[in-house]
Amino acid sequence: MDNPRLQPPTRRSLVSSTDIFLALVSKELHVKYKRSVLGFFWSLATPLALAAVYLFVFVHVYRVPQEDFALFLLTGLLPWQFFQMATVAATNSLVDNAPLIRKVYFPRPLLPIGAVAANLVTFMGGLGVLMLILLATGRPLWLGLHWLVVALVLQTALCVGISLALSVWNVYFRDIAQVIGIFLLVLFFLTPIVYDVTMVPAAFRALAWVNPLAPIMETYRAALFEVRTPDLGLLAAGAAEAAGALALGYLVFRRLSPRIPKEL
Amino acid sequence: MAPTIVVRGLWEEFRVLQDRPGSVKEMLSRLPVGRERRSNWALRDVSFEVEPGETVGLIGRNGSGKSTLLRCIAGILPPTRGEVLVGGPISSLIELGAGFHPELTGRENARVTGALFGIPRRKLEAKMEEIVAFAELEEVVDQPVRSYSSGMVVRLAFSLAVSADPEILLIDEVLAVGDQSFQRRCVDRISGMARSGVAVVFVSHQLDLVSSVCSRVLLLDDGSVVSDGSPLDVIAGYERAQ
Repeated sequence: MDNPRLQPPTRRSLVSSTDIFLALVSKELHVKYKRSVLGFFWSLATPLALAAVYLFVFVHVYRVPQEDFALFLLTGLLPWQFFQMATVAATNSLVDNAPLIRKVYFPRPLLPIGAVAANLVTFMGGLGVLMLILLATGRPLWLGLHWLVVALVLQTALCVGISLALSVWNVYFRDIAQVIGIFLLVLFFLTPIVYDVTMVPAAFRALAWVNPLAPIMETYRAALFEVRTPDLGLLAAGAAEAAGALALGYLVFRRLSPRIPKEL
Repeated sequence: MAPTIVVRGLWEEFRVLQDRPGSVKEMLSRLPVGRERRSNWALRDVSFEVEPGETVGLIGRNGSGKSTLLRCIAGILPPTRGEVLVGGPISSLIELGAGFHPELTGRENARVTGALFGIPRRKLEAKMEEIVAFAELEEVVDQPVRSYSSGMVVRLAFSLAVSADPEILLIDEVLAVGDQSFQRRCVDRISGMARSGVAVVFVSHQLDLVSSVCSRVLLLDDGSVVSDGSPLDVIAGYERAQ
């Protein structure tokens, strides 16, 4: 009879996945801000620049009447920035870490999930700054805090699901990294980020129901900007879509990842 | 004694990379003829066991399957057929560099690679100075790895791998880079670990090194184990065949 201690090598590790995960996340963050003077504050630069540009176009050129438009934009742009950065970083995570994958066994999903987590850390920092500003404007943010948590959880789940699938597809077809740029550009304008979901004409309202990011953005804005209860029907659809994306990403990854070391 | 590595009927398929389209464009341009999937076997029906404390050398010509076998034992490549079972944690030192990031310092890299090699975080911090000292990198450990020589990189990687307290140590042709004195200390360390019950599998083309380190040698040819025995016998047979 076999020694019961004998197991496949992939079950054998001295460290918990948590330690490897933390090491990978901290590496991502270290590498990102290495040799940069402003470091973390760069993550605020893009949303601020975008907000300034949209402010100019919509308020001063098109003269759209919208109260607190700068803050309205930032409550959408900051979460978008997280989604975009995390998806791009995670898509490349397996290819970028090819040397590690060829040399050591460790649970492979830790790479794309770690890339999402590193960007989540940065996003939380930016969110903290934004919330201080929103509090200063007199918004009772504590009343919407639970909706903020819901939005964060759903967005992270959606992001992880998409990232698992894209990262492993990108190993087989490097085109994915190119396509993702176009995909994100289109998604940016189809998602209620620089406009409110209620401003969309009825004919296009269905978009918000099929775009998994729309309910998440709606929830961020409800929790942070207007401090109200989000559209619960839409949120339920968003939760189902995020769960679906997570399940799909997991299945794709589980099916395709064993061959990764041979393809890199 | 119970074996700590069991390889049973292991077949590993190896796909020639050039036959796979690298992009959609390339794929479309090949569609009419279909994908040519030339597959062959990097390992053919390999079976053997390693006991705790054994130091097994893998020798053979380039492309005979030594590195593939090591990767299968490490769990990096899943077996196409057959199975690989291990009785304890593994530390694997495969190819140079251990995937260090050039912009990060030696110490920062040691934290990441240490975790991947199986050293828990607390223990890694406690052992850091010892790891750095064994690698003789005290002067440069806080400088970016891009400034290191290839010998320094290997020293750090080896030092991390042996600090993980594995029950199985897999080493692939990495000692060739270090200088004589470091190679000597590596061999001493490997022998010491073997004496304390670690199973070592060691790939090298340096036959003199294999015969001085290993207690047993497997000769691979075209993916099969063609000879398994004492270093003297197997190496003599290999040299005769050349």
